[in-house]
Amino acid sequence: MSSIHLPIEVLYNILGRLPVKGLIRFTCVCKPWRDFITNPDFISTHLNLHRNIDGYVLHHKMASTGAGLNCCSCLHDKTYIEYSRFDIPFLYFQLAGSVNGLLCLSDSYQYFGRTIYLWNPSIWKL
Amino acid sequence: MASSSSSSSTQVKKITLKAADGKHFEVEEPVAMEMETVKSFFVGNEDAMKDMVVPLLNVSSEHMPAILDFYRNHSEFRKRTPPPPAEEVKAFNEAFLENKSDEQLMEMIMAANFLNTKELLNFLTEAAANRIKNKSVEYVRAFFGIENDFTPEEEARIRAENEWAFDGLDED
Repeated sequence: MSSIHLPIEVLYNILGRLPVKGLIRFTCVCKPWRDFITNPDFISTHLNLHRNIDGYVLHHKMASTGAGLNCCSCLHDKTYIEYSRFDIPFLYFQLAGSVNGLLCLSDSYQYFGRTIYLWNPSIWKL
Repeated sequence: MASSSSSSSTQVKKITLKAADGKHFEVEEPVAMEMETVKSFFVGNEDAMKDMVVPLLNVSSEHMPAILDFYRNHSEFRKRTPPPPAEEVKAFNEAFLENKSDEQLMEMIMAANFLNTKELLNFLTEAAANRIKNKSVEYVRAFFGIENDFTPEEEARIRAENEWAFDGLDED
């Protein structure tokens, strides 16, 4: 296809409808797209458009003694398809709270002091 | 503009639209007024200018029939009581997109954007998002005619950082 100049509002309209996974992938389409997708204005517009669409279930898998890390998965609440996953670097944790899709996890094992992790499941980042 | 058609009007007023390549389209007033760009053309000169031809500099005549068809049908759906079943609207929308190439879809999006017509623009951009959401980066570049301006190293780094986002894609 020949190159067309996409007006910014058209780009907003199309990319705003994409799931986060697609957006993360398309940050490597070109530099203007990367800057557009990672722009805080776009991110908050996207968050507002996609608020409260789906529910999720957290699943905590304990590692068998001594081997490997604990794993925490975020599953879709209807299909149970794994949506995000991360390895927890401590044995016991509790969910301190969540807001805007971010999860705050804290180390609940008292002797190890207070470690706090902020997890954004939709971009697989801690 | 509402005053002129308030009494028992049997004949719907028509407005002439002129596409970029000069072709004329006679359009029923309510359908034409779905397009903000056309509407704003008449603001302040409602009745005096109804006979004028509205030039649409950025819309090719190739897409005009489909755009008008969309609005004729959707305004009929809105007026109908009881409202049409969801399947009927869905069937119309699916038929509308069938056989439209990616290029035609993008051209129609540009036309809808120029005409400032929300309903059609939302519908078409949703369709475009559905076509690309599970596709590869290469597919999307071709879809929009975008040139990759990353160096191979830069691109490899982004991919490595977000490996999970490149899993389970549809074939191009």
